[in-house]
Amino acid sequence: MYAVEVSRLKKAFGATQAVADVSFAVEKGEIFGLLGPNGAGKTTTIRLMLDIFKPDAGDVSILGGPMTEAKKNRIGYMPEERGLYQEMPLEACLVYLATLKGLSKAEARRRLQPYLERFDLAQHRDKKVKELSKGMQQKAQIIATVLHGPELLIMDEPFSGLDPVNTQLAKDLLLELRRQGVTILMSTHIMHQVEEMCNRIVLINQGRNVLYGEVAQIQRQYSGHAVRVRLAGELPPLAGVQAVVPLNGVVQLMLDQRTTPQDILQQLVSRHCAVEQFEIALPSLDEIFIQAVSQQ
Amino acid sequence: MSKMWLVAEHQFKKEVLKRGFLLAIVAMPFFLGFTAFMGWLTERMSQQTTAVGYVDPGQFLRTPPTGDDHLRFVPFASPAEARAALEAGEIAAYYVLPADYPQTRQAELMHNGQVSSEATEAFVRAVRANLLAGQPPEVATRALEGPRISMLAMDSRRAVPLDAPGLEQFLPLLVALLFAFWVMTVAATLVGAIADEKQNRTVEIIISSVSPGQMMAGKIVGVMGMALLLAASWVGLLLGFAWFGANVMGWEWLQDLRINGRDLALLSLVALPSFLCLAALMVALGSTVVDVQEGQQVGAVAFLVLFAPIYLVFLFATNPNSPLAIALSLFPLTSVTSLAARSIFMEVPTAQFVAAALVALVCGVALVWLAGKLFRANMLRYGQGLRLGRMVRRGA
Repeated sequence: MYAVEVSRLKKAFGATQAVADVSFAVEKGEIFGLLGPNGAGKTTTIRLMLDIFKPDAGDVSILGGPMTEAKKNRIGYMPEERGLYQEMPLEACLVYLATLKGLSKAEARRRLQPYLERFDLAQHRDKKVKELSKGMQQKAQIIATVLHGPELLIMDEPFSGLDPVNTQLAKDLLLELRRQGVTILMSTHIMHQVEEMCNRIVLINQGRNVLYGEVAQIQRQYSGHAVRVRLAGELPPLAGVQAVVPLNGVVQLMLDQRTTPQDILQQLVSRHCAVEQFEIALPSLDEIFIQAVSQQ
Repeated sequence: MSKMWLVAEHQFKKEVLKRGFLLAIVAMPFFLGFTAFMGWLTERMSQQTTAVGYVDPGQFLRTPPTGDDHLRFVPFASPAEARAALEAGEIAAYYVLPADYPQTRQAELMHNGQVSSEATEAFVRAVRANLLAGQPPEVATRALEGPRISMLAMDSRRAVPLDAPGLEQFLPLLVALLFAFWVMTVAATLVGAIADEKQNRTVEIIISSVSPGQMMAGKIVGVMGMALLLAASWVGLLLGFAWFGANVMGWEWLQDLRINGRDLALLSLVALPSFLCLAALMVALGSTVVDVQEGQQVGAVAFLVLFAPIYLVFLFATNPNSPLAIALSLFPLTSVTSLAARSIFMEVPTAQFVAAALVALVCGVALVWLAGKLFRANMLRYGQGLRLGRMVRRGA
């Protein structure tokens, strides 16, 4: 059973078709990336999943069935538009939001303490939210999303507004939650984080699926016929190489159709080259993203 | 605890812990008290101690005229002495009752400048009392009271004593005014409570935890709790004021106060659905405005509508059954204040109260539905207002 299953989803606002045909499924305990350029329909898809909007067509199954009020306690949602009560003290605000997710006040306070310490917010607990920096508010928002111990986390751009140190903190938290069995669906533009964290992705553009599947498989699917090599010395002339492209300390060898990476490695070894790095050139998700979107 | 109650509790605490709430509690009694004090002060300042003389050679005034702190009657033996005092500025005027006054009933008033009406009334009252000296006391007292004129509408059993209308005549209007102030306080708070969620960008987080209906209901209940506390405070302060006035100050107008239970009960019947209408309207406005400030500005327009019948009270006095008066009585936002204003001059038929309550109830239910639609359509339009046309074209 999937944690989330979205099938042939459609939603229009007047003449604007925000979501035209989106389908994907999120497996339990995985980190799933919902990707797409601005205006692709990611946020609308998330809102349809959470029953904030009603779909014009298609089905959403979340935690084993349609979205219900009771399921809201099992889901943590961090929307694109961050929001906390600016006039409230931080602790009171987070405790209130946790009680709306079914925790008692005492339990919310008990769970909050370690999070405040982990995110270096303990000494700011009595400050009004508006007195906190943007980064601090962002960390508080992450705490508000996970405090009630959800089974499913849906996060829209979870790392925006965070500096590298706090990004790592947030990333570690999400990886820790995944290890605990929490399913995470995140929408982000930061592709290296997707490569690093996500098991699978769906890329949508103009409200439709463009790519869907495991990250590694998609990269292989988009890989050109090339290898990346770093040698201690000069690169000798090699048979079957059509072009050599220098790339930040390595060279990318574009191979003809009859030559395999193994042929190249064999040639290098037979010529006694000191090979420091040898890999099949996989495109980055950034490149795949641009290529897939521009092909549409 | 149900999530709706959690939202309500949060909203209630948020509102009553504001400094503005304490201000609202004292504002209304302070406003009434300040108005009364200013009236009293103005009257005191306009009153100067006046000395008025009189000459009564025939000893007609067996009971001499009496003054008070601001009015003193000075007897003179002759007109010449009185005139000298007048010219010296010791007195403002003097009356001369000739020796044959009982026969002629002709008296003279000599004055330098204007004589206050209080002085004239006090002297005339003294002369009349002496003229009635031989009459039985009850006859004399009644004759001194003069005529009692009440205005009675043609089709009504309600009489308004024109010479001295009492507080009970105006009590329904006073209650309606308090209701209007109360409703507006609630309304402004309600608009703010909804707009605040948009301004803080918390709507999406909240509705991922509770349903939009629970959120709206929680906010309305929370604000209502605050409003009831406010109303209880006002009523408590006013009752305290009334008790103080009646028992400590000995004010007769408060001691003799009789409350018209029928009017108040019927007004309450209309007030509840009328409040529902306004609350739903405010939720709708709160959903469509950009921020709290804009919400308050829009709410002020509703305030003007609510008070319109107060400005038209003189039209109601002329014809409390005019088509305009009846129309305003049936329009949910003006029904309470209109019916209260008309109740001063006539006994408004029970059927009109019931009709007003029904109209308000139907409109209230429709507005709650509309507010729900507007809220769903507009809750995530941060920093943007809503155009009606767009709302009609798109559905949430």
